[in-house]
Amino acid sequence: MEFGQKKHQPPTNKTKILKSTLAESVDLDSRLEVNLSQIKERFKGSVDVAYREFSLGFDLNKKAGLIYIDGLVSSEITNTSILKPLMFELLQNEELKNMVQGNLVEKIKNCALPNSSVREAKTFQEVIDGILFGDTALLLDDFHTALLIGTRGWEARGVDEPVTEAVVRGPREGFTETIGVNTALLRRKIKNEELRIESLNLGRQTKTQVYIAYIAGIVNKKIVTEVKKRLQRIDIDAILESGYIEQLIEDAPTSIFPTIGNTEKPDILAAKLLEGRVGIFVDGTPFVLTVPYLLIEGFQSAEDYYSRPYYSTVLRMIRYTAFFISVLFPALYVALQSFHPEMIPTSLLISMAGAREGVPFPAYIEAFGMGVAFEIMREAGVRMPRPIGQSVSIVGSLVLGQAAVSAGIVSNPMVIVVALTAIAGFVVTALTDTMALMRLFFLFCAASLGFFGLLMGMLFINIHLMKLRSFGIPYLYPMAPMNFEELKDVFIRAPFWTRIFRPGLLSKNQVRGSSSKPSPSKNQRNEES
Amino acid sequence: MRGKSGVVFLLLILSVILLTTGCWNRKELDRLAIVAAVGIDKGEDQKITLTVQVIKPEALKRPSSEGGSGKEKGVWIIKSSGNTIFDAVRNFVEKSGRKLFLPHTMVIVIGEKMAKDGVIPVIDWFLRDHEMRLQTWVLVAQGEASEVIKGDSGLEKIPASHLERMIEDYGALSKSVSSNLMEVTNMITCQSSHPVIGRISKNKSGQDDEEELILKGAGVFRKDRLIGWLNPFETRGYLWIKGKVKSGVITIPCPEHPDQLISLEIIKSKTKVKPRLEMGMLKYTIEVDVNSNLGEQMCTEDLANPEMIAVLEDEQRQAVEKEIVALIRKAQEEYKLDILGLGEATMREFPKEWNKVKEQWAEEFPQAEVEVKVNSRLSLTGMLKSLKTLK
Repeated sequence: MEFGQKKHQPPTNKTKILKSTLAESVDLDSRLEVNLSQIKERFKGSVDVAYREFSLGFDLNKKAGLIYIDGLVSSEITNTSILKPLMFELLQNEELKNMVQGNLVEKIKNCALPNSSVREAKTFQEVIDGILFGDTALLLDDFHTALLIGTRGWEARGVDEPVTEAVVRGPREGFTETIGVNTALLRRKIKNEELRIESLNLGRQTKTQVYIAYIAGIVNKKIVTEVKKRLQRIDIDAILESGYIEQLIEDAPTSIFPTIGNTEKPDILAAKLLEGRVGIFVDGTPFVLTVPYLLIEGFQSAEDYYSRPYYSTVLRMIRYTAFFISVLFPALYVALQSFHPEMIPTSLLISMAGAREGVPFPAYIEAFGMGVAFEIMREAGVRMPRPIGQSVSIVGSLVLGQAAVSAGIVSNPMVIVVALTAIAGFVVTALTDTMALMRLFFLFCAASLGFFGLLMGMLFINIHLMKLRSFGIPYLYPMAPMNFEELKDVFIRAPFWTRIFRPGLLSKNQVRGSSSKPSPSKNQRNEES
Repeated sequence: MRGKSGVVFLLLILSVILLTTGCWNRKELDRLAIVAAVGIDKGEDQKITLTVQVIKPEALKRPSSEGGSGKEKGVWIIKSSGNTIFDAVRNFVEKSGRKLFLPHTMVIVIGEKMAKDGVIPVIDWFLRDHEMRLQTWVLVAQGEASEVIKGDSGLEKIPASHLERMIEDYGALSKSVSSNLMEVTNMITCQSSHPVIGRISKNKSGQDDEEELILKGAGVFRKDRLIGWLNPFETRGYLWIKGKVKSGVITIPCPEHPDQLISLEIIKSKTKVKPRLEMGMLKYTIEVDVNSNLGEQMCTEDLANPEMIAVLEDEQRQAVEKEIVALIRKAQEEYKLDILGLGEATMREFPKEWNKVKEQWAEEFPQAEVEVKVNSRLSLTGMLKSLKTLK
């Protein structure tokens, strides 16, 4: 019964919403009192909405009203760019005093308001929306038109170094919670009029601003239309973080692999846009989404490109190694020692057997238990304030680990395996969650069927990855389907002068530059000799 | 709806597959008796007796704060017998409580009687088991294999790894043969060749009563049966022909003081066995390249000049030739067995002729004409010219 009821509810809700929006799109009245009382009625019970009634230029007959939300507007702007000109400076303008009705609004908008953003609004809904976004509404007596004046100015966190994507070399600025600041940070990186930033509002209650950013000359148009289509399909109460959008537009919601990336840094976003990706800004969060997201992006770091290619290449190899260690090591260990001890080198086997002597649990329970203990410690450490977090990790890692081993509950090699796995898991930060899940999955495979199970598990994951698409782009691109030009940025990081083309599937304008291998110019060589 | 039932169905299948198999064949390390070495003997009653060294992991733990005793023996030696090898292996459970885990066996020692009666049962059992490693070393014991297995090591906690090191480092001397299960199997199953397996024996060492294991010489097999032994001198002859001399010392007399000796250290050797057809007769040339350094000289002459080096090279050539000829004589005259691998060389070079002679190769081989050619070279004379000025 309950299920049936639930199923019937949404449509009724929808019609309600439709009706109310219709009611709200009523045109403004010409009388100021009516308009004000209407708006007051709508904002009934909210103490943070401020109403200021005043008269234009000492003329008590020309009444006006200001409506804004305290804290969302900068009172300095309101005072100097609205109240001051309208109350005092209009005095000097004889012409205005005798203005005919129709032109007064126009005149005020064009001549009397020293503010960069002034819009006209005809309906209540427009006015209310403007107020909610931090504009100040100016209502005039005897007019059907209100003016929405840009006075947004609220307390916000400054541009700061992001904690999640710390760098040694590279810009340290990160996005903030304010969407306007974020787009400005991006504009500062890409000074090209082709950089398009389109806007839409999502969330029935939150009306969150969402911007889609892309470079028109580079992006694959199909991806942009697909992004827009998917965003327009969203119907949800609230968008509080870009994660909401991510989960509502991703290609494979049932997969453990992310098909949408995110970043907190303008330089990374700029690089992705320049490869033909699309960015999705969401107001209220510093995390900007990027699509399409491919598996290899998890292994690429901005610093790979900022430092010279040789060590970057080594680092990339290390990231792949760490990925495999983190995902497979516990499973391999369990499979080897519980199913295939004949595969272990003899001397290693002897020391492993020595360590296992007297341990009461089978290897897979040991591995599973240690893995869970590690996840607990990690979670505790992340949420705790920093000083307490440290003591958590000391108690957890040193005391617990040491005590468990000397009490003979876990074996020493298992502690090494789990510790190495855990540390390796932090190398590829973008995929940390995925790796934790894969680790469990492979452990289960290995514990039930040994190497055979492990192989089956790997095949399963492989086939799954092959099937995944992110906004039409194969998830494993450029490894499968293979693109030789792009492989220069997968296992190695080739120097910039060898990388002439952009990723083929992602972008249409292929050539990104044609620098040749750097060498001293001819003149200089002659001078030397 | 279809998708949902599909998922449920898949989960059902998966759970059945995974849960019913359970942890099939899972064996925890602490339930295994890891075997380090096996000795195989045949008793008078034709029963097979196995002697094994089982590793005691507890005793091999790193000496930690709890004071893991450093002197405890790292292995446990037990014996078991049965009508067949498999029977004997399973009979261990009566005594050990844990199942024997053989893949990590480092050395298989075959007793003399067992070897004389044929080693086919041994090879068969170890090859048939899917877990066994073919790299396991095979030795033949002079006397009882159990004596070798019981032998202790002064260096290693696991005597088997002592044996293993001895075999692996045979090359420093080149006086015994190292062969693993795979090589032995190859030699037994090959049409023309016969195996030669390293000999291990337990000897009383001089003054005190202590016994020690010595790896020296080799046993010669006619297919799977032991028929005789090679002494260390002949063994090196064998290794020269097989191209398996890695290093070792050749002693030759000083050119002008024959009572004093010179040691040459072999650093490189290469062997080619070349069959040729001369008027329908098969003839063989064994060409050995020897490269050595001057390692030591008892006399004080200055040998580091081209003339003297030529003399030394000649002496070295003679010494090597002597070893090779001794082996050929033994193989052709005493054992009448092609342990040299001449048959194999013929088969590769002249397949048609080989098809004609292969049936009566046992009779042909002793008559075969073998020419030995040694290309001797002395490369370096060391950091010293001579100590002549001291006199």
